[in-house]
Amino acid sequence: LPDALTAHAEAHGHSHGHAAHHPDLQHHFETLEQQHEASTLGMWIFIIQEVMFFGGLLAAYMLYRIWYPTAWSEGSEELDIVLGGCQHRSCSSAAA
Amino acid sequence: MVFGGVDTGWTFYVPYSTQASNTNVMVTGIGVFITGFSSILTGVNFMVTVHRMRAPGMTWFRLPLLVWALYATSLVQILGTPVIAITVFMLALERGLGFGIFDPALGGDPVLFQHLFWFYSHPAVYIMILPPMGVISEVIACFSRKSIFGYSFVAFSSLAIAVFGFVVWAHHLFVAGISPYSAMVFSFLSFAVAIPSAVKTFNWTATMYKGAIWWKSPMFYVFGFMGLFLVGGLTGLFLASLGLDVHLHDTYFVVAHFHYIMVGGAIMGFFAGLHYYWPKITGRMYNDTLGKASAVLVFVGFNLTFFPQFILGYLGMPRRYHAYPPEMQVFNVLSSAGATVLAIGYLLPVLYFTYSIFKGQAAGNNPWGATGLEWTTQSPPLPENFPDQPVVTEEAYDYSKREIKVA
Repeated sequence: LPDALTAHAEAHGHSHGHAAHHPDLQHHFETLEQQHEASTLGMWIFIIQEVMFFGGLLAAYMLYRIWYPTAWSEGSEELDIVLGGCQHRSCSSAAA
Repeated sequence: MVFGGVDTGWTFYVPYSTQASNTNVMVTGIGVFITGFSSILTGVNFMVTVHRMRAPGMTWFRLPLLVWALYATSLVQILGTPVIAITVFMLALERGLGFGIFDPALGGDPVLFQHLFWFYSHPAVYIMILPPMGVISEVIACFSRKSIFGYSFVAFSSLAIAVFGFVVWAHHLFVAGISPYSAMVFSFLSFAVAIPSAVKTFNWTATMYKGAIWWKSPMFYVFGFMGLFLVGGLTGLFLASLGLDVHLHDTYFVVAHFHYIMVGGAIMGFFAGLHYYWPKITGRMYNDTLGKASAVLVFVGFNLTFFPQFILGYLGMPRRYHAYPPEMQVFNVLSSAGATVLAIGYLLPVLYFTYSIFKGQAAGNNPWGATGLEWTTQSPPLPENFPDQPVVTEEAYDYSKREIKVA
């Protein structure tokens, strides 16, 4: 491994002026472990952000579902359990 | 917006933005969406950096208060910005495909848009004011040559502002027909935001108390910030009061209030930071006398512009109107005159900063004798900031070991 590191450093030509490092290590991290932890945490924070993103959409859905329960129940009558989102009447007539 | 602008105002309220407006609402909406994600990614970057990439010895309670403030800002960016992004998306569905989420004729609710809009857009104000607050903490400690008073209180008040900021949005809807009970709750919570803001203001004042005040340009801007932010904050309490808000809603009083926070607070803090970090950013020192002159001009011009607007608003002049009765003439003239002074105050830094880049004296690594890692490296900083990994051994604002004044 030390040979590989030296080779890597030579490939860089020491152009950015620091010591040899692992080829996967990005320049702004000190160690591979730190790089791994940082990218993991970053992904988790991004997922939290996604919760808020779709949260806005789900909040709007929830409100209308609470305000108009009868519309939802009538709508569900039109749905086929097997075919999911497909409209009941058109699906069954197509099948027949 | 280049293609003829958008006539909905910055709030994009429905139904105007979905049904009446013929301008480029969609293009601007896409712009908001993309900018929103850029803001979110900045927040993710800052949070991960603070959590995972602190230097050895840099514990949480050794962090500069600017970093605490940026951390609180990132929190708001991550939790708030996605909501405006999805709201703009729903607006696009409504406008482009006629979904009816906000259209009462199709069973929708236009007030829902206002709720979703302000759920982000109120915290957005804290995104703008928190980083300048962090800068103020840095500058006050440096130019009072003292450790900050109540470090942990200042740090946690940033987080408290970020958290409280999420539960006050409906104070923008007091006259939009929300229930009186929720209005009372939101009024109370809006008053609560004053607590962490006041904690900061008192701690900054206490830091200056018995300090060795060093009269330099950044400190002049800090004094401006303190005065204007105080007025802006206190008039916010007027607006958070339910009865008063019915009278003051949509008047010049509101305009004056948020300019005292956003321009008097955020922009003054930004300028304090610019004058403080300019020698670090460019390696050159600017003309300090002109810096002080600019700070004074901005302060005077700002008050002349916006203080008359408090009176105008109280007298009942609404926002977004160009015509007014003759008895309001004098305040409008004062306001326009103030805007001219303000413009000169803002143009001066453009001139002396530009001059300093070419002809300014070399600033050296640490012209202010400040604590903090950024002042240990060269100006302007190297790529990757430090030649070797720095190790932190002391608290953030330990000015006791420093000379009282430097060159």
